[in-house]
Amino acid sequence: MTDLDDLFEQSRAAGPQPSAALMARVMADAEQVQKAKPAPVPVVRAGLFDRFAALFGGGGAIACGMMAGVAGLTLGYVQPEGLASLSDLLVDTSTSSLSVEFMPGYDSLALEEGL
Amino acid sequence: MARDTLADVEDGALLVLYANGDPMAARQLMDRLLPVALRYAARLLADRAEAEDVAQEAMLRLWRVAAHWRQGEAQPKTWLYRVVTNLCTDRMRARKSRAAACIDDVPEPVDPRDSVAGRMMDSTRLDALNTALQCLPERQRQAIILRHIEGMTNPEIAEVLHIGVEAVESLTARGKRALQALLSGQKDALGYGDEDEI
Repeated sequence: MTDLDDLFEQSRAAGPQPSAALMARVMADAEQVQKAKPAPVPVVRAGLFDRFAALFGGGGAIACGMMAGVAGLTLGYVQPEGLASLSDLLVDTSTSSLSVEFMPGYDSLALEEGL
Repeated sequence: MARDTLADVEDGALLVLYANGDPMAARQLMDRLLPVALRYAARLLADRAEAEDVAQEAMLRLWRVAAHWRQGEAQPKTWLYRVVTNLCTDRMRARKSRAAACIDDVPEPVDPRDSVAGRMMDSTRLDALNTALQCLPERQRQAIILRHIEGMTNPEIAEVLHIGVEAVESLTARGKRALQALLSGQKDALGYGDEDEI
């Protein structure tokens, strides 16, 4: 062992020790941090439905889709009064066609003949 | 948990216990780690008051990180050495007057034949070592203290200093040579004979 190693050995044994005041400050810090620690937040894992709903844009989108489906089925089975005539108006299901005159007094042929 | 039963618990597990609210875990950790942080900071800074501030700040950071500590990934002691190193580096850079301290500031040696004087000689030798350490470049000083005084292994030092093991070997070798050169001029004054190798 060289004298330098001897010096290192002496230095190792001669290190300063923490004072009582320093230890008190460190313990006060420890207690303060421990008290200030926020309550642990429970970990919530996503369930099967959540992961499925996420594929379609979330639970709200799934609910809207289901409501629309149920409404369509209800209207299809119940057939409320007046619904058939409304659908006839919107979709031409009869053989005869309905024509509507928006300008009954206007004669387009007369205009062509310069009358 | 009772303090006696914590004596055998490793530092990482103690830190988790502290995070879970165990008051005795903090005391046990402080007893183990505060002296380490203080000694290392005092050797790096050569200033007791500053070393106490650094040690307290490093311990405070340890308490704060406890809630996020992942046991088994790192040793609290190694983590603490790293924090102390960084805090001391910041202080040394702020100080910017290290060059003022040099080997010439070592107090006059006393006659080693007297027992009281012998103790003073030991103190003088340590003062000479500490002063010489302050004359080393920052990284060499850190590596020398961690290797030869704190007794860490080269891989541990590499982890603390964020460098490779080869770089640690190089730093310690160059640092030791520089220390020998700085102290060789003081050989007689420090009570070493001509045949003694520093």
